[in-house]
Amino acid sequence: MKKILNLILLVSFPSVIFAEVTSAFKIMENLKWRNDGQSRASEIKLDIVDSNGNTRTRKIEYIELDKGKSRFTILYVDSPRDVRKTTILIKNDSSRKNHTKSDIWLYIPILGKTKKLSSKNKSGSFVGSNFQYSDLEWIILEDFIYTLKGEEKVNGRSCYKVEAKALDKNVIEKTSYSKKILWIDKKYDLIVKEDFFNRDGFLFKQLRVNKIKKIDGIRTIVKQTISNLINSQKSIMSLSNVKYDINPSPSIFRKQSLGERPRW
Amino acid sequence: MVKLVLISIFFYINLKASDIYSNLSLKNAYIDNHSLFSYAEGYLELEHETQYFDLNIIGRGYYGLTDKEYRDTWFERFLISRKLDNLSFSLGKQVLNWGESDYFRVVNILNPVDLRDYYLSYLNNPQSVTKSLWSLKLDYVGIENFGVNFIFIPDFEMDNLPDVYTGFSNKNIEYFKSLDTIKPDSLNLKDSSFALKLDTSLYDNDIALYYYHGWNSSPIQISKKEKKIFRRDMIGASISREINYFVIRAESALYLNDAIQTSNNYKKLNIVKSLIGIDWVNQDLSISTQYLNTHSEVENMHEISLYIEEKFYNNNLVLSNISLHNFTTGVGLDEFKFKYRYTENINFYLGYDVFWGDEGVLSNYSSQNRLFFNLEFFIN
Repeated sequence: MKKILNLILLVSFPSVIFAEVTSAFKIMENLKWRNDGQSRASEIKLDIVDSNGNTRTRKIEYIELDKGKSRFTILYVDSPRDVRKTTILIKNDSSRKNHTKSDIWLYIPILGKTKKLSSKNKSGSFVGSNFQYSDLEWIILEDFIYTLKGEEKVNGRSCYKVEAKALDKNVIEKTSYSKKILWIDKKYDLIVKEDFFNRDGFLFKQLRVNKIKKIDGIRTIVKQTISNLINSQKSIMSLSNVKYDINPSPSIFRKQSLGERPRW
Repeated sequence: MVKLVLISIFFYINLKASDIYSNLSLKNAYIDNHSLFSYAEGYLELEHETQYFDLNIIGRGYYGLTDKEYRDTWFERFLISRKLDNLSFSLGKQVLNWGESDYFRVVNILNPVDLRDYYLSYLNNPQSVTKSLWSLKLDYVGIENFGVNFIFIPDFEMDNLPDVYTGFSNKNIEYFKSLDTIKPDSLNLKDSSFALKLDTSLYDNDIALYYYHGWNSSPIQISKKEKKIFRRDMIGASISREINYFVIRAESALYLNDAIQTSNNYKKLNIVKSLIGIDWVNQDLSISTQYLNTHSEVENMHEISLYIEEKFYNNNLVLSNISLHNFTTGVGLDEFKFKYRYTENINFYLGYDVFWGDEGVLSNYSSQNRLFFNLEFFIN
């Protein structure tokens, strides 16, 4: 009897793990493909608070367009004034074979030029904040292996707890994360809490969602805070003037158009 | 003064319906020849959006503090633009940038440069010392990733050379400036320029082809009394692509029957310029290097550039160094810069420039090594 029980456990255990991985992947897929319109825009205010409590503010305009399985994102820096017009264009095409690679272009105002950036390194700080480029891009599901770690309540709401382990060394190199733990709101398909583990496997950053608002019928994170546990800095990202389905002209998502305030 | 008042009135009238950006810089340099060169520089920009078009106007000016004759105000941009689904246009005074190279002008030759204060301004901010021209730019986006860019330039202006007040001029430059100039008429259809660019993205490569029929904005001395602006035709190509942690950029241009200065006169010949650049970024550190070859039947020139930049303290402190060296003439320069963003509205800069070599343009500055200190205020 004991032998039979052991055999059942032996056979079923990998399938339990497989089921967890599969369901976690499904949760992440739902997160990636959640219904948030075909396009969206907002103004972003980033407050960067250092360990002494001093605050520096960055203002960015953000506009995004989904076209088939591609997503085009523009981030236009409005403040600080000395780097005004700095613009980042990110293109991620989920339909292409090597879609774990995004195309990134950066417009540098003093050169008056747009330069291509290597997508192999997304661990750079976004406008000096604790957010890095990989935190802002469209989720690349294939970069991590996901395992469902159960369900937990965050701010009184039911959430899936998902562990995301970097697929390989290249992903760790690219993102600087070896592992992430995500809490995903079951109903809204939104990340409401996230812990980040560095290359050595230590918890070093935490993201907490502070405010979710229903805009044009879509649940939207309008305030979130990311804290660096090593240098005690934090960055608070607040969104205002959020709009969905704005139908921007595709011509603004070209590298030739960067450096101009994106209008639609 | 009249221009300054007119620019101010124009901005004031449009103030209510527009976004206004302005800044004021105080620039000070202690130069090797024991002179202090100080001036104030102003920048005023208006962005105005209407239902039918966008209007963008930039007014700039500077005022010499150590020499009152060093002053000017001008419109750097006066631009009306409109974006439609596949077509966009911009009409007005504007700067048009082409190509993949930094600092070196290979295909990026549409606009003249303003080197009135000194050559280093071009390195510090190539965009702000590129002189705008009245032009029409049409951009057509065809099938995905394919674009056509047509430019018509009825305007013409020459490069500006350093002013004597700055300490960056010399007898040769002053003599050259004093020569009579044979140049095309501005806003004359017969003397207009046009340019065409085709660009696409193919297998992760950003590719572009260029053609320019216009003018060489740098005059050539043709006799003891005269200098002349010559026609310029250029065919070029550029490519950039990501390879692992690097981005590789390359561009090449063929200048057809281009006029160049010789020791006693001038000569017309074909010139090929080829550039390759490599960029590498790791978090807050970036390194960029370029090699440029200029080849013709009378010269074969090799030049390099190396730029290193690192950001600290949430990007509020930036240390950078740029070096240029010409292996053929042995001239070059190195500039180190410390930039600190004190508040969102105040920056200061500290640095030095060192020149070396005895030939070419930069050799004119060989006794002009300097220490500089700049303050920048943003007024809104």
